[in-house]
This record gives sequence, C-alpha cells and structure tokens, in this order.
Amino acid sequence: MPVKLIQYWNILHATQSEFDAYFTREYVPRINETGFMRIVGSWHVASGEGPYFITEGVSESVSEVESIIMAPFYIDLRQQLLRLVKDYQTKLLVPIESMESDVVDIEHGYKFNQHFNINPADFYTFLDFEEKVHLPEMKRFGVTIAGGWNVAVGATPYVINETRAGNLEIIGEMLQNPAYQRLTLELLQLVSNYGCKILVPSGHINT
Amino acid sequence: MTVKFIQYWDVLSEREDEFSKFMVKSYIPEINETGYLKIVGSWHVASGEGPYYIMEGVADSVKNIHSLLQLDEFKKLSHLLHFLITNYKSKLLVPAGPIEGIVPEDKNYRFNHHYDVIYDKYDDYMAFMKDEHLPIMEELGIKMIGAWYVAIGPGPNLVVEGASPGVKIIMGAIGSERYRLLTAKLLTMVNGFGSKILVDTGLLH
Repeated sequence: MPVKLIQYWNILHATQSEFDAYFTREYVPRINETGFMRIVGSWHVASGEGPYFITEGVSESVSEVESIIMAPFYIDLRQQLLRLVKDYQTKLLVPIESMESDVVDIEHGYKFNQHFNINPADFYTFLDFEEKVHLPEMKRFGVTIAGGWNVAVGATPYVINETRAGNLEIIGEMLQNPAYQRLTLELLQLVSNYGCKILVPSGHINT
Repeated sequence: MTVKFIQYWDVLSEREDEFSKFMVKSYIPEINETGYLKIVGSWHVASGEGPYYIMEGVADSVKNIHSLLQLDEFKKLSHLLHFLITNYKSKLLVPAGPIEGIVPEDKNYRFNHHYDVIYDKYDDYMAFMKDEHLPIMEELGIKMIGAWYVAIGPGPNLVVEGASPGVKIIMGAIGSERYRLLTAKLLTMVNGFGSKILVDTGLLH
C-alpha cells in the first residue's frame, strides 16, 4: 500500500540559492538513497493557500516512513532544511481503500488537488458519488486521477483528491466549464471545508 | 473613495435551489435598491480555499457600508440568508494603492492574491508592485483591477485583484517563467501568500 509524506514550507528569502543547492544536491538524493522513500515531485502552489513549496515523497508503507523519520541522518537533514525554510508542515497520506492510487517514479506535468471533509451523514453517498459520478466526470474534463488519500497524520481537511494534467490549459478549460461548476456544487452537498490547489513543478526535481 | 464589502459563505446541502432564488429575487436586488451598496460580482472559488461563494459589493464610502449594515431591510435579508448558508464571513476593503480599483464591465474571471506585507519591506513592496508586478501581470494577460487593505475582517491584510477574459489566460500566466520569477520576488516581501481563481456564478446575469 503506497503512502505519501507531503512536506510544506516557505523558503526564507535570504537563503533561496542556498536552499536550491541543498535541496537538489543533498536533501532529495540522501532521502532517495535510503530506499525507504522516493521524492517524486516538488511543487509551487500556483493557485491556493500556502505554504508555497510542496515536496511529495512516496513509500511502500507507513513503517517505511517511520524508518525514515526516526533515522538520525534524516533528523539531521531536516534540521539543516529548517535553517533555510519557515512555516514547515507535514502530512502523512494513506490511500482511500475504494480508490486506486497511481504512483509514479517522477511526477511530470501539473496537479489539481481538491481537499475536503466528508459530511459524516453522507459518507456512503459520497463513496458512491465519487465512484460513479465525480471521478468519471473529472476524467472527461481531461485530467487523470492520481489517487484519493486520507490524511492519517497532519492538518485536516482529511480527504485529498489528486488529479494530474499534462498542461495547465486542461485545468483552465475545466475550471471555466459550467459542467465542472455543477459537478463541484454536487460534491459540495456531501462535503465541508472544501478547497483546492493548482500545483506547478518547482523545477528542482520534476519539470 | 470606493470601498468593497465582500461576503463569503457555503450554501447548506439541499438548499442550493432555494438559495439561488433568494439571491436573484430578494438579496441582490434589495441590497442594490438601498443605494448604499451595489453588488457587482457573484463568484465561485474555482481554485483556492473556501468558503465557496463570494459576493462582491462596491460602495462610495465606508459610511455607506455602515448605513447599510444598520438598515432593518439589510438585517432582515441577512437573517433570511443565514437559513440557507454556513461559514459566513465578511470583509470591508479599502484602497491600498498603487493599483487603482476598477470594476470590469465585460465578463471576466478573477485571479486574486492575498498576503501580509512584511513591515520593513513596505517601500520596496510598493515600488515593486508599481514598476514590476502590475506591468508584467498585464503583459501576461491579467489586468490588475485593485489593491485593497482589509479594514475590517479576517486577514491576510492585503488583497490584490486581477481580471482576465478566460481561465486559460490565467493558466498561461501561472505556468510561465516570468510569473514564477515575479512570485519569487513578491515572496521576499510578504508573508501568508495565497491566491484564488474565481468564476462567475451567473446569479447577476
């Protein structure tokens, strides 16, 4: 079962070039070398709330994430990172059982992620809506479904729907399509604390 | 001095139809009839954080907003609105410079930034906005239509509004290297940066 460790931060402005060098030459390679986790993408939040920089790591299991985050070398790596960034946050994401996750070696293109809490009384209706209506309709707008995740550890909202697009035009066309707006209104009947983000590659790992 | 009164909310489940009728037949026209506030925009947040509905009103002065809020008609409308919505909040926005506030007449989509300016970077920020941000955003196809301080309401304290005839133009801008560099520079002067893309709900037309 793949899981994700998502890290968020803002880069301290005095340390941008130092950050770029540290992140690409040390932080990412040393985490990847462990074999416990692979950094598959680094992103800027082009639309949505900050922090502005997002790093996406994938592991095979929660225990592998634990192996990394408890390792002395990682604690040291993170301490060095924290000298260069602020507003640091993390989330551990586990897949929603009913949704297939499409995990890749390196992310290419762009992401459009929706996040929300499911209304407790509408949980089963939501699952049905996701499977039969929401996700199939999203695919029709040209995005591919990258996965549905629960936030196991970290700040809510606790559901994240991830989609990918080869270019931003696809996302743009979707957002201004009245059919997408109607679909979102349907989703909003079943969820609360809804928000979404458009992610563009930061240029450090994926392009 | 033009000011803005912005209201945010989510519509309660199963109340969407009732909400739309109430907006079109009562809330918007009756507020406009008071003469204190003109509703000029009704938006969905297509990308960004909720609440999902945003109602945009423009007034000639802060005094007009205060007059509106004290009217019995507005209190009644507000009371009825709250039967249909949740997560309500509002903000009173006053001009911050250096971008003059305008309301586009043509159909448009919005790309708004919000943040707090770092206190000791204020002069650099103002110069950057005037000399770099505004012209480059306009070259990228996003007309800058206002910069506002949140005089009353939750932060961040600054809202900078952009408008474009299509979301595809906004996507072209945010995917460009020029926008990336512009944002990287802006982030050296501000905290709590975020943005929203807004699409018209159709309730005003």
